[in-house]
Amino acid sequence: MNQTRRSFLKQSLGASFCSTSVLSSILNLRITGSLAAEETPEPGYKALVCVFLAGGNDCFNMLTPIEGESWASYQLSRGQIALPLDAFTSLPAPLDDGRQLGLNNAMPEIAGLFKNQRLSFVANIGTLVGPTTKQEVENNSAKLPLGLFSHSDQQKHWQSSLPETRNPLKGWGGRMSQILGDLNGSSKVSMNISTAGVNVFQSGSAVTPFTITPGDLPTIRAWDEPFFAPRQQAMEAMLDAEYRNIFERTYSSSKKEAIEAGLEYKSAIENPNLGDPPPFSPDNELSVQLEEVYKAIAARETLNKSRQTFFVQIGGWDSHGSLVGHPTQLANLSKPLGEFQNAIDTLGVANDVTTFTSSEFGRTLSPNDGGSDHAWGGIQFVMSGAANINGGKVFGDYPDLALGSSLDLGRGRLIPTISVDEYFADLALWMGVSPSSIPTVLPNLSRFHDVSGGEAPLGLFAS
Amino acid sequence: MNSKVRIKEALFFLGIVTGSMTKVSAMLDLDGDHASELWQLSYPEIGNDLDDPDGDGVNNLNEQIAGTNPLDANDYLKIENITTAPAGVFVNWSGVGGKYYRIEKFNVTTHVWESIAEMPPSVSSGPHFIEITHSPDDLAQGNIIRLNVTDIDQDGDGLNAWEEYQLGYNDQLQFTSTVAGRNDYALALRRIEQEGGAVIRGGQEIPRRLPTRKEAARFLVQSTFGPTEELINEVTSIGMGAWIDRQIYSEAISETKSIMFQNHRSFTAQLWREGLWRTIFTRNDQLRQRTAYALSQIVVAGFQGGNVVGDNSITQATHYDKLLSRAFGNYRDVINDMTYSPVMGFYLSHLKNRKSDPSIARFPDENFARELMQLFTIGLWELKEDGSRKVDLEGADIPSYDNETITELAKVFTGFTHGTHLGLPATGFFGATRGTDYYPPMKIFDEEHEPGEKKIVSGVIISEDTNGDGIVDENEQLSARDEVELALDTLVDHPNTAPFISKLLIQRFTSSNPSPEYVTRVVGAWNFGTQRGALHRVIEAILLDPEVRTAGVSGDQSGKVREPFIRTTHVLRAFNPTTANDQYVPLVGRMLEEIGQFPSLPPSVFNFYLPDYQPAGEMRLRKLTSPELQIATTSKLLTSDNFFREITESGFFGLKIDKSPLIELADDPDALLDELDLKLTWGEMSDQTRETIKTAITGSMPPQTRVLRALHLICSSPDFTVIR
Repeated sequence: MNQTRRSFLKQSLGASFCSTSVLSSILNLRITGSLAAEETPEPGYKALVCVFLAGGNDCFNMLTPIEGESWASYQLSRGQIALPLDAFTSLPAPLDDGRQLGLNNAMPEIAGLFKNQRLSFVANIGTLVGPTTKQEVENNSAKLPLGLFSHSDQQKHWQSSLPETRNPLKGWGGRMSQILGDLNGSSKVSMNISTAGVNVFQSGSAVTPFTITPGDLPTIRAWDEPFFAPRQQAMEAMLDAEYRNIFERTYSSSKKEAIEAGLEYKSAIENPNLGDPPPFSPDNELSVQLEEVYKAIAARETLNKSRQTFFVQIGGWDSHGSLVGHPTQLANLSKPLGEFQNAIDTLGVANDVTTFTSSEFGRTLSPNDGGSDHAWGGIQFVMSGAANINGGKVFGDYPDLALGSSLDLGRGRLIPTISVDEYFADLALWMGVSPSSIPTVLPNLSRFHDVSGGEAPLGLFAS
Repeated sequence: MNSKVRIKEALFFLGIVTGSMTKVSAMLDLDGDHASELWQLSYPEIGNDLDDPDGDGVNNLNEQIAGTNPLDANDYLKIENITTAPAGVFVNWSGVGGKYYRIEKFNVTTHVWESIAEMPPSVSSGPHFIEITHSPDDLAQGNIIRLNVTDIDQDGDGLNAWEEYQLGYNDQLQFTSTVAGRNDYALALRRIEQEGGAVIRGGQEIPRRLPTRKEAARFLVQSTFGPTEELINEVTSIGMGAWIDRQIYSEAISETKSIMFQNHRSFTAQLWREGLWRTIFTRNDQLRQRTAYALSQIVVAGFQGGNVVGDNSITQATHYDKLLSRAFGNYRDVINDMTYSPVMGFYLSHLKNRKSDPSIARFPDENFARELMQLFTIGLWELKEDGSRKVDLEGADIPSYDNETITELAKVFTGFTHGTHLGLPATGFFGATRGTDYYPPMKIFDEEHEPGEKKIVSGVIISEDTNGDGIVDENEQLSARDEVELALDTLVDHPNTAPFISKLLIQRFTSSNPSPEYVTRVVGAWNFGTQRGALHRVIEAILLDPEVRTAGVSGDQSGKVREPFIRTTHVLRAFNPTTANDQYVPLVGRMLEEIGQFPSLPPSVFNFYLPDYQPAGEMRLRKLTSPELQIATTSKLLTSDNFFREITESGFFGLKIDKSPLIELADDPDALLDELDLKLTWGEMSDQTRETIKTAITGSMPPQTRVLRALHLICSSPDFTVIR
């Protein structure tokens, strides 16, 4: 029995919420056991931060076997895009099978978090319809994600966990917020905040993320000034009016919501009691986004939030042409994440905030001259407080990098051995989704893992 | 005998019964009053209303539907007589050519009129009859029949059979004229716009009908970066068709490369953007510019900074000018130019793409091959001509290609490198490059081109063995360039390309959710004749279509949210913009930040928004798309409001609008709103929006305040944001 589930239950029962989703969770829990009778702590606060590396991170130059045969395979497979041995820093301990991995030297902050047991990697993860073997792919009996190796499709699949549809309308975060949203108090500001625009991850049938532009509080200028009153009234009248055309209706209702949410958000963020944020690099594209995330977490109480999700994104990973800039990309990822984790620590919520990466695919081991192409399985990482996360580990089987391996579909396109569903299930359970509600969030999980006993597929978090 | 009598007694003629039209959009109806302009021009004094000036008991509305003369008391739809015969009943009436008649029987049980016999449009007026072949006994079961008349569009070209009959066209053919490549709707629209008016059936001359100022403004909102007084006057004096001709044939090609130097500023990485900005405000080849901009959002190659492309304005201009010069050319040529453009080669990494070397496990770069299929030509799914997806026997969508196809096609795009080296003709695949090497088209070097077969889409196998005898002999030399040609031909000729690209273009100009009929008409223009993919025909078919020329004809899903970039240029162009020192300087960073758009700077090859984006809520439930709403995020909805307020108040970095004519009108709020309605909401501002803004500008305030407030509120309104 994990803490989260109990806390979720107490909150749900104690506060007599009546939404269908919560009630059905409770009913399901009752059926699976007399859990309602157990002592349950307060719901507390939890936030999930998705860092999306758009374009497909060439992760096999990020976390790499650096000794023996595995190193030789790496060099052989990657050819001219293989990095020299001194480009890596050895992880503190070898894998269980004895292989020693090294982390790209461009990521000292990530290395530090790993060493302090605050960060773990998940190896060879990708979108899957079901467990898949090379033989099944080769004899065409495998059901494969639609639009394999394509950016737009794989981004959608990574954010929806629905690899059999090419037009998912809901993301797994959006579906999760339909269940957890009731834990939050009243607010016009969505529990889902994005600094990178509208995205599938945080979309539900009626849920759209609250998007902010870093450095710019979302408001209409002079809204509350006396001279603006006639305009304010007119704008409200126009947005409240009924429109026959669906575009006009949709536009006016989103704008009305944006104005209201923007005003609430601004006053919460500008709360003088919050103090100054710790330093973030002003010129780093990811830092400025994570600074906004930090502020929204700092303002969680004013915003009436006990659950939040965040979506930040950096592009530039689509290294077809060259991998020369890849270490810089990694550095520009590592540094802001270090800054963010330090900032979160100052808020005292280190164990309540989990940051995880997503990227639509790994890249071919074989180069196309100086670059690499779209592939499938990749490597992600998760970070949080040491008491919360099983840090300093590599979850999953780090793949064999030899071309022609039992996972290689050609050019070093590796079949994932961990499904995104499993990764997300750990995160969703941690957020407080009950095992019985997991199928709502991740309908395909049962193809990989039986969650009914409450056991997380990967075990990323300390129980 | 008995039964015959019983039938005759039972027949009960209800007079003209007007059913709904088969396709609501199939009519040349420019003012949206549900009456054909041909009928209205034939009877200029008569409204489509309930009056009955000829006193024949049939009002104007029903005379219009029946195609009869509202001024002739003897001309109206009536059953002349009914004769009976052993086999059935003959119903006789005087019919009008091109009208669609049905005999309907009233089902006394279900209370529904059921069609029991029909007569498709005939090619002449005069006696019509229908033989009801039901046995008299059958008929005797009911007791009421009626004659129903409607319009019908049998060939789906948007012009109904009566209109085609009036003009001497054929309602079995979308293209009665095989010369112009214009469908019959566009032909008809041009005919009533032409000097001297049109001659219709019976030699009757009908007066010329030019667009009203509002219709012209609305058309220009769809076809330019914003209507101006000058453009409105031009369209109202020559018509939409002739204006399109002027755009296509008369205007010199506008090149941003030459324009950008007119800013007389030192050369910077920003210079092309300034050139483009100047072009939008100073050049009249607006349709060409809009088309190039639309293409730049389909065959995407971004000009993001910090590299050989982003830092070189001449490179950017050279690339964008290809889209301008090909805007009214053939789509095949667009794809050709994009394939060989070093900017595309840099963006999608087929520049210096090398052949395989299995010994070091090196394979061709797949980036360009993938996006060329997925985004630039055939798309992911097999499509029908109307743009909808084909399905297999199990009802599943059919993918257009698989990863194997991409790997194969990637081999075709190997061996590309710069067409010149250090200002000299290229001599080899390798060699250092400098900025100027990005100006000329790329060149292919055979030594780095993948040899061997390539199996691409449509079952095409590109092979050096061109005659297929299994032997590659000496005269069978398929050059690398030939292979590229063959691959591009195959892709552009693939049956998907016409509907896929047509629909994307429709979304850029007029409509987010075009009906299958509208897509089919545009695809018809694409596929017309031997020059398939002629963009001038495609663009005309997009603009001159009943679904967009009659406002709101597709119900509440008509139209689209307009792009914020075009809304920006619209409001600035509307009121005689002037600049300080003749400089046109867009603040590109601010535009990207605050409205989310500037040409050729989308975040990725997937453009600013996805064509199938469905906003949460009602639109998602109804599976309706609105690409532009993907960038109408919480923050952009608010920053863009501030942005429009600022540019109408203070101008945009030196570019100022001339508000003095508006200030002169300010004492009369109705006159002010009339002018703003025409210029900013093309005469379609709703009554409620108008009342709201009028309230806000009524009362004691300086004229300047009144004007600024009205401008800001209109820019903030759904009326300005959406074209219905």
